[in-house]
Amino acid sequence: MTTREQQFGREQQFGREQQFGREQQLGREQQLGLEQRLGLEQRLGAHPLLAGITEAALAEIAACARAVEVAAGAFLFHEGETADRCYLLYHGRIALGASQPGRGHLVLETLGPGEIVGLSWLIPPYRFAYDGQAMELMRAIVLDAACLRAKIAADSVLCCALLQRLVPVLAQRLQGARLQSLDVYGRHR
Amino acid sequence: MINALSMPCAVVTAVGVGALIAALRRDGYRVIGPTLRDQAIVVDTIRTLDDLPRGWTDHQEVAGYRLQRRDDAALFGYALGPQGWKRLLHPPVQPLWQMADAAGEPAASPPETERLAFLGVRACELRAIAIQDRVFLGGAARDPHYAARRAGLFVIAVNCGTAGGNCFCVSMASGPRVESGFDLVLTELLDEATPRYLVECGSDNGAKFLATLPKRAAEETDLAAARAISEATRASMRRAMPAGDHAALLRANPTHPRWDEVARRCLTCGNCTAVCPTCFCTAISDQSDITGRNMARERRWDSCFTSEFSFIHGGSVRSSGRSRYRQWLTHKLSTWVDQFGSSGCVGCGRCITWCPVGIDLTEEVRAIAANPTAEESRDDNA
Amino acid sequence: MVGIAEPAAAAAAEDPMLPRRGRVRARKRELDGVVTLEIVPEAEFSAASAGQFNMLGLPGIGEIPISLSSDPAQGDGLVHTVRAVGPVSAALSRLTPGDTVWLRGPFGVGWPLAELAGRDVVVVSGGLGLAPLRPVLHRLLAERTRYGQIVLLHGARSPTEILYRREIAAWRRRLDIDIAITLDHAGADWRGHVGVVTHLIPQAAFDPHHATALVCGPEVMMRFAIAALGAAGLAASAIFLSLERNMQCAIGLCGHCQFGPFFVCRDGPVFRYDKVAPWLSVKEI
Repeated sequence: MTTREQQFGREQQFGREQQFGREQQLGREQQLGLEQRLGLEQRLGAHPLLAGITEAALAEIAACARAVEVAAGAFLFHEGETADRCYLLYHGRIALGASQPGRGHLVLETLGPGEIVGLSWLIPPYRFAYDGQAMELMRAIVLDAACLRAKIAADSVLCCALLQRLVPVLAQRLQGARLQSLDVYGRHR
Repeated sequence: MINALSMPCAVVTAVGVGALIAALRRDGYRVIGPTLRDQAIVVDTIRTLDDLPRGWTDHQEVAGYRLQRRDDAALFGYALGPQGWKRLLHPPVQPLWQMADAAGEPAASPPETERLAFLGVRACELRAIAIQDRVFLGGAARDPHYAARRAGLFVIAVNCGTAGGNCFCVSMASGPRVESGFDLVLTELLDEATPRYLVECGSDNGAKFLATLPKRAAEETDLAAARAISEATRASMRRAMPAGDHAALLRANPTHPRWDEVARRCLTCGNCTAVCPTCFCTAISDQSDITGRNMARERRWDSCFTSEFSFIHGGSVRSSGRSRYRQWLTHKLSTWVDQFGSSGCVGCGRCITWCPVGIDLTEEVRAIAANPTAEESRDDNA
Repeated sequence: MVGIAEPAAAAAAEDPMLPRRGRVRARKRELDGVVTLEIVPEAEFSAASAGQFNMLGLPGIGEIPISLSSDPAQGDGLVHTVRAVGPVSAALSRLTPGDTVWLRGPFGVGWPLAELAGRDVVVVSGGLGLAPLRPVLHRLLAERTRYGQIVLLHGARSPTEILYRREIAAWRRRLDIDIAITLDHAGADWRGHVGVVTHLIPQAAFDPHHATALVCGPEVMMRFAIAALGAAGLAASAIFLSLERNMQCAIGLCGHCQFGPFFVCRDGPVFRYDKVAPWLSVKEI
């Protein structure tokens, strides 16, 4: 499907190679220039998910990060694919969906700026649970899952800081899903 | 209020009570008073002295009521009948309007014009009437039917000469001595061979009727005997609502485990709401005849113990018996204060007598008061 | 006797239970099982304020409370949106222009419009909960400069169950009100939000220290929305909600609508959250 190719094509512009380990990237990062690297760190620090995190933690996470822009309609990922990344959105919205034969593609939840898309990278066997599709031009920071997992395995302080920020997101999504499942607007006002 | 002591008072015999009934009837009142029916002392239309339950008393206990013979000729020698005066001022069924033609206008049911005279109203019942006055007449919206019945009412109160087995008016500060809200008040004095009645006035209208009766002046011994009777009644009252701020207690304890405990016994039959002299809730419903031309709207007594009571589309708000008992007791003793400035309980004990499983609200309050910080009940631990 | 009663005649003259005739001027099908009626009272009818309700009745069938959905400043018609869920609402839903309907009202306490001047206003609604808020939005937009940011966050079940859809589209074109609609269920052709309405709150543009929130919808949705508004920084005293209970007399005499110490018909249906918060968390109150 062409949209996927377009997506990867765009990602290429932002340096697909960067998604590997920090050591491998060092030379490349220098080529990117200090300014660009600081810009990424700044944007990361400004994301609500990472609000209040330490400079050191931010630098660690930034080492796994790269910027991405995804065209409207393009899929970020599909159900069942390896969850090797997550997205911190700062522009545009994405739809999490699933297909049901006879009912087509169902949208389960939409997520927007300030939110994280993709939590499957935390939980083995690391497979995306839903389809993720950009509803409009989307800009985000992609975090490489292998990189992040390696860092939190080695650094319990970083691990704790991240989980403290991710657990409330999980709880909020669970609460939302439960409320949706009540179908309160069906018979009531 | 008018100070009863400033008004004339006198002593009459049973003949005088009969003369009072006759005088009220001559004046156009329908006299309502105690009478024997269905093995109980109920209130109904009284035509002569013979309609009164002379020589009868009631024995009341938890979930129990039976009539007993007295060994004297007392006219008011009982405590309280199953139902008080509520059904006369706030009847079980009240038509609101009728419409004889779908194209026509609804015609309001005319307010009652018949004047009622209540004979034998006890202190707790007078308090109950005062409480219902605040409900139906004290707010922005007034009930014209209640107002009409109430406006013409003549009240002959009676100071209780005996405390019923479930009475707790002393602890609710609503008896046993009548304080206000009457036209005449009788105290039945049984210390002589034949009963005599101290009659005190509470209104000019009362004094007017008293003037027509065969009587003698009250002496200090009569007044002292009357006071002694009230004291004896007060002293013999065995049941009591525990002291304390019930409003705050129940407001703070909507999840107390005692609600589960009482719910296991409560049948949610609604007897307590039917016999309670202050319970006022009604359901409004429409009727139409088979032609569909004649339509009417009426209101009927309702009970917060039914699951339909709190129905909103989708289901009942109070689906459990636990929540319904809690609503009744919390309303009666706590939120009533917020709504109407006083407790909704007058200590008559009818809800204890007529509860088929013997739930005693004073015991329920005592249980919660004994452990006000008890852990939340299991329903709320989910 | 000594008492507070008055002569019967005076009381009968103002029988609060006697309905007055109204005529249906227009009927609009909104959603499956939901219609909006415009009713013109035949005689003078007291002006209502947004958030109040009228009792709508059909003799022989019954009478139910329905929120006022029209802005009283915009003409004489009373607009009521009705979902057919019971015998009375079903019969009301079948009325057509020219039919008679019997009215009592207006009743209750409405939204605190006077307190909104100069503030940001966040309207959070779910399902038919938008109906009692419609007159608020009309009033706010009619006097737009008196208010700060105006935000409408609305939750609905699916794309075909969005109340007042055309009107919302017209409001969107004004650009001086932020509108976000979120659905519980949607297909791929839905371009808006999917998820619960509470999810929209952190993203909405308003100053929590100078905002008032007006919330109406199913009670569970309101509880979640209030929690999210609190998390966003709104004080409990800056949140208003409209409650629903069984109402039969609408004048505080039948007892059905009791909610803790309140009669919802008389003390509500709109309450300031901090006044009702202790009871809102008690089940089956």
